[in-house]
Amino acid sequence: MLGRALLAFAAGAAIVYGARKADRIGITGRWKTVLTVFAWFVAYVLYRSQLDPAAAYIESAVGGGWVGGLGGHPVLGWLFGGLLAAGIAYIVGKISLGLRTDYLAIATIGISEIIRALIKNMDWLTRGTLTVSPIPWPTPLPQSFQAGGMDNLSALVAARGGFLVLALVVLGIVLWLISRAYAGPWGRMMRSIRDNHIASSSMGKNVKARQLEIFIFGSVLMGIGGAMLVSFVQIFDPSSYQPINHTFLIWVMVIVGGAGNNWGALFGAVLIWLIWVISEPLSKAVFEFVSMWSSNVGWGAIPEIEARSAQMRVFVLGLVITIALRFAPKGLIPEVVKRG
Amino acid sequence: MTELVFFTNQVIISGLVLGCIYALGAVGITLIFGILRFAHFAHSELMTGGAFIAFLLASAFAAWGITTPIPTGFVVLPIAMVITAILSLGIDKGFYAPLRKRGAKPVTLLIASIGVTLMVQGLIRLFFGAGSYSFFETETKDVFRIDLSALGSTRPLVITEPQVFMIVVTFVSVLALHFFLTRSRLGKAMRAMADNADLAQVSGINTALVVRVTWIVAGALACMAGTMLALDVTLKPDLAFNIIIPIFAAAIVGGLGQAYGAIAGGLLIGFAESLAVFNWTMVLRPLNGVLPDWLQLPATLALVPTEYKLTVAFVILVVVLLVRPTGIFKGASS
Repeated sequence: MLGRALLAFAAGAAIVYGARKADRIGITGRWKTVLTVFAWFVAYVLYRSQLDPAAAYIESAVGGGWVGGLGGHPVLGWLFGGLLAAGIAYIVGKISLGLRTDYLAIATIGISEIIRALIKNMDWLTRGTLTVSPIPWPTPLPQSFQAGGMDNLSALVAARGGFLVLALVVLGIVLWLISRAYAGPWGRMMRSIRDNHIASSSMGKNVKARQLEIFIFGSVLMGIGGAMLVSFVQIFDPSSYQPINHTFLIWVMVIVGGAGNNWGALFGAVLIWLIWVISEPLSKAVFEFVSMWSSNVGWGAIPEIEARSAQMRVFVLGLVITIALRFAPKGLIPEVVKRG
Repeated sequence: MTELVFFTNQVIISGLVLGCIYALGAVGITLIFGILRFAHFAHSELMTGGAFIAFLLASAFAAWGITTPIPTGFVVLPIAMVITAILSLGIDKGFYAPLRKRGAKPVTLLIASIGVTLMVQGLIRLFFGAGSYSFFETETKDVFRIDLSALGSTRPLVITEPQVFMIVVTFVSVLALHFFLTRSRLGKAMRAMADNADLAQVSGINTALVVRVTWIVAGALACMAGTMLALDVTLKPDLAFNIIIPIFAAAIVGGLGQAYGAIAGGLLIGFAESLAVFNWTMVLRPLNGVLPDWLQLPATLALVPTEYKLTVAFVILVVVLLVRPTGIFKGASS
């Protein structure tokens, strides 16, 4: 249905374009203006006539809450996620890559907030806060293992293990490709643009296009990652994607691991994820200890330990960023600069 | 006349209130950018932290039985501002000064400030939880309803007591800042350093002192903005984190490094946000009598739906960055 709306949109655009070009067949002056306005009107009516039922259908969620999907394998969906991210990155990059460093950072954060607000509120496309679920798993689900006669726990482990293997395969392919690119002429060109873009442009490299290229490439990887995340948690809830939990977490991974080194980024990702996960139970244990001590002294126990220790993750993340920037500014596995 | 009063209530007052808060925050950001050359992301946490300090002081006042004719939040504001200024000096000493000494790039300092944001955010949530608080639990929030029936309006002009104080306090502090920057020796030194740090140092200006004064002014203004925002709405841990990008937009629209530009930018963004979500049907309703039936005004006629209110600031930010990256007042850009 959304596809038909898209077709209607294309038809409308063609009508408007045709009206704009009407002077080719001898309609000029005021008649052309009238025709153009009329064409806009027809295109709009046509588009809305197709879009409205589609939007109503998506929002009403008949058919078990699952709309769309071409019945393809989820891995195809992951690739499509990467493609979509590339399209968005092209627009974002075109807009903001000419800016200087801090302006660039602020502009991209601003744009990301705009996109987030759009996704959250475009009910007709993403169902907004109604969320989309369940999103299919690429590997067999725990239920199908249970049907095969496994008990609950081992079915869960088997299903998640299957997903893990698939994710590791994707990661392996990506890392292999990146390592090859990094070592090859393309990687050398990219590093030279980063280190001295004036010299590179005097060597005949198109710096702007290459910057856009690397930006899109990074976004494709991120899009695939997001698609994998969404199919792992099986629910798409736009309001659960907070910059504090996602954007900044990934920044910390790169900074701590070592920017400019693929193995550093990988190591940082695993390390920070470990810290992110264990900081909650760890701080809970610390709080319980302090609480025991303080109630022995007579000051009373710490209230709401559960909720408070959940908040400690953010604090630990911030502490890790500042410590890493101060004591290991190049990261734990810094970039290797080959000379000679 | 009713329509005009409604417009004043919905756009002029709320735009002015929002604009004052944005302006105070943006002045701090712009001063830090002018002197230290980095985008200080943790400014939002200085605002929230300042608001929580003011809240603690106000609760302490209430517990000691001190009642004041004006909202307690405004009475404790000077003390809270001093504490926040000391706090921001400490943050600078602990986190930014070592990086500056090493000669780190502005973007490294930006990321460090995001780290500080997360830490302060975590600490605030640790002590206060994720709930929201109100300054007006023990005292009442006075609402002035100015009756304008003499002018033929069926609605009164509504403004709350904190809003009146907020506008007055912002006005006074902007004036004070103006005199500080143009008349005092230190203010002139700050402007000199913003123009050219090396030249300022060569001509005998104590740059370390200027940096300290910048943090004191920025921290105090951030505390003021945060407390007043909390007095107008409610106090919660993500109070200012949600509006940091609009504040940056205000600073950039005004031209980073330009104190007056930041004030203009703050008011501009505040008014733009409230104008964008304003329901024009309320003002244009008299036209319904004139217009033919098929052209009656719809029930809501806002430029953008209410849920996109914050997006307005981002769109302005992106457009300004594209069209005129130096801002309206020709800010610093290198």
